[in-house]
Amino acid sequence: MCAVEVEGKYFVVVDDEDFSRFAVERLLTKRNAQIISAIDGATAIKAMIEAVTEGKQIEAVITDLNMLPVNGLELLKSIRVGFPGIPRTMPVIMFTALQGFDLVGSAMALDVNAFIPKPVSKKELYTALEDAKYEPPEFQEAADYRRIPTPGSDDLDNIVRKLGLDGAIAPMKEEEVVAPEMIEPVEDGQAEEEEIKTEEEVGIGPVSMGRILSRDYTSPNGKIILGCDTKLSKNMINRMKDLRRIDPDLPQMLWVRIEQPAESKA
Amino acid sequence: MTTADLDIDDLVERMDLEDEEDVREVVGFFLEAAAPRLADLQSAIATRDQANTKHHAHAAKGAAKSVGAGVLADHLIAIETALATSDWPEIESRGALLLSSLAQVEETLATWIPNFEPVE
Repeated sequence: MCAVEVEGKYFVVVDDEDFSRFAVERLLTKRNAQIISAIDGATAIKAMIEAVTEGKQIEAVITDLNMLPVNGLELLKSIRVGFPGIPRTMPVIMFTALQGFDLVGSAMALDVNAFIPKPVSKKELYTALEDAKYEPPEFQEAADYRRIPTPGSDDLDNIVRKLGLDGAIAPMKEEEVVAPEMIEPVEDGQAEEEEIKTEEEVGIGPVSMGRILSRDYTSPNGKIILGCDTKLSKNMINRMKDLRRIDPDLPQMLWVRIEQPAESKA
Repeated sequence: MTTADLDIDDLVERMDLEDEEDVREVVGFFLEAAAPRLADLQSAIATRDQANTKHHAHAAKGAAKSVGAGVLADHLIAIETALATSDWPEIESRGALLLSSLAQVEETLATWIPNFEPVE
């Protein structure tokens, strides 16, 4: 019944909690997948570089979000920015729980391929693998990902230093840091003037890519998942659908700007 | 013992388990990993060590939910919630129930699989 063939393929499973990691690994090894285990983002990157050096082709990374010292966000960012030998388009599937929603906006900006809930289930895991394989995001340039902040983690430059990969990745300049909700800001002035009278409420299902949020998209407890001015990619819309499956209390409607010709066709 | 102590049917479905041996392996791994984690958590609670209480409670909660140990997970969620307001009497009260909840998981499994013995 599963459209994704995992037999003989390598998957990186990253979780600092032994049983949760075991549960994912077991679901994969049951179908004869090969596993590379790691307990946080830094050990995952190291293990991936070693695996690639040995000629192993990694199919996907399945990672928890909250880990120390390097969390799932920084791992995702490291992959999207590009470590030597690791494809920037590597599928990354991320576990999230309701209390982790304050970090998922950054994960969406980093083009995470899927969110899946804990506890893991066979159905959710294989659906996510299928989505990652058949509906990949439209990936951005490495520099675009470089700007996305990753709260609660050791940062990429420190990871690079600790792994002895100085020079492999261009250092980030301080002024490049922007908050996730400020990605793709619209021009101020005119847009601000039109904001109130040119917005409409649209469901997550029918909303089209390229639309720009006119209000924050927040969880029921007020955490900002995607900030006002975020330009919605197809992947972001799909990930919001993932999140609503995980927490049906999340709003199903979004406030977006009325399309303006110059911005809507991006 | 109820399905709240250990929901084996849900575990079998979610984890694609096929027989008693699969259930024994998975729950056995959980029991083996959870006991020292809960002991660490109780030590952290005893010294009112906020950081370690949070760390161990969060990790143990993830495992408890993964295996379907609902009652144990509820105690751990309550500990995490009480930590936000430093409600130590509540944390200590819940902490005192952790090992008995874990024992209920084992007992439920033993009822489901006669002669169950945790994996070495």
